[in-house]
Amino acid sequence: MKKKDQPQSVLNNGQTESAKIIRDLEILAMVRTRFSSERSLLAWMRTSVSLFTFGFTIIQFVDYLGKRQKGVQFLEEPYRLGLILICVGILVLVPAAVQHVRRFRRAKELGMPTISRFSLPIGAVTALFVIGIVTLIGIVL
Amino acid sequence: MSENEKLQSPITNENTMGEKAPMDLRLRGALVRTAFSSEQTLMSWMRTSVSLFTFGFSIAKFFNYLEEQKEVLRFSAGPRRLGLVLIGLGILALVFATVEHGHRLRALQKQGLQRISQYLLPFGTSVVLLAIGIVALISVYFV
Repeated sequence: MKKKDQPQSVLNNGQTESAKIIRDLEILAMVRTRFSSERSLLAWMRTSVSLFTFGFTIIQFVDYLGKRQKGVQFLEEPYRLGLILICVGILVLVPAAVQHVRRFRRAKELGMPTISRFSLPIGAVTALFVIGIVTLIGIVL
Repeated sequence: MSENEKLQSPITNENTMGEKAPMDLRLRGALVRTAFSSEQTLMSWMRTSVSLFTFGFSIAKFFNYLEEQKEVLRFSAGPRRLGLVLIGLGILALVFATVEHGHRLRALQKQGLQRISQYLLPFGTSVVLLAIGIVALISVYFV
């Protein structure tokens, strides 16, 4: 469909062609903005993964130390810190994903063409979120 | 002086002559910028995957090491599983991101993007990283 449209507009006079090129420029700018939004979502994901991993490591390590030296009581504080880190890591993902989806929808309203139905960053964020929740449940229970 | 003129881009030349850049040039520049942006996104995915690999691997290995030190515990299943899942997620994400970058580049080429020099570097790097991730996955799996 589009391929049929393109030669026609080239055959038309210069006015419509430049209008079409301007439209293309706008669309390309939107695509770049979308890539940029994806990159910032990825940066959020990295932040979340590192928070989450540090929390997990702290909890497991303290657990290990506690099992190794039975008498010593120093478990409560680091355990809480670990839990808080994990929770922050999980919670941070939600607004980041929502922000990304909002920007994406806005760009679509403005006429950005969709490349694929499946959004890779959203899929990855969901997977991370599920991993985080499962780990949190595993630790708390 | 003549070298300077050679180094100037066509658009800059146009500006010095006081004319507006032709639409065609602007479109070409926008296409190249978009291709670069897509490449940066792929690099961002690489960083994400690498951090997933690293964290997964270190979690699994660290607790494996602790377990070897003392004959205590039962917890080796948790960190090992988390490590495997994180590394697997990193590999999957990197594969899909690389494929998507290829699709994007092809779509841009259909729109009239001319050859840019950056094909080997991003794809090669992501293949190397994939190999590293697979090695990490195997070495965690057969711990």
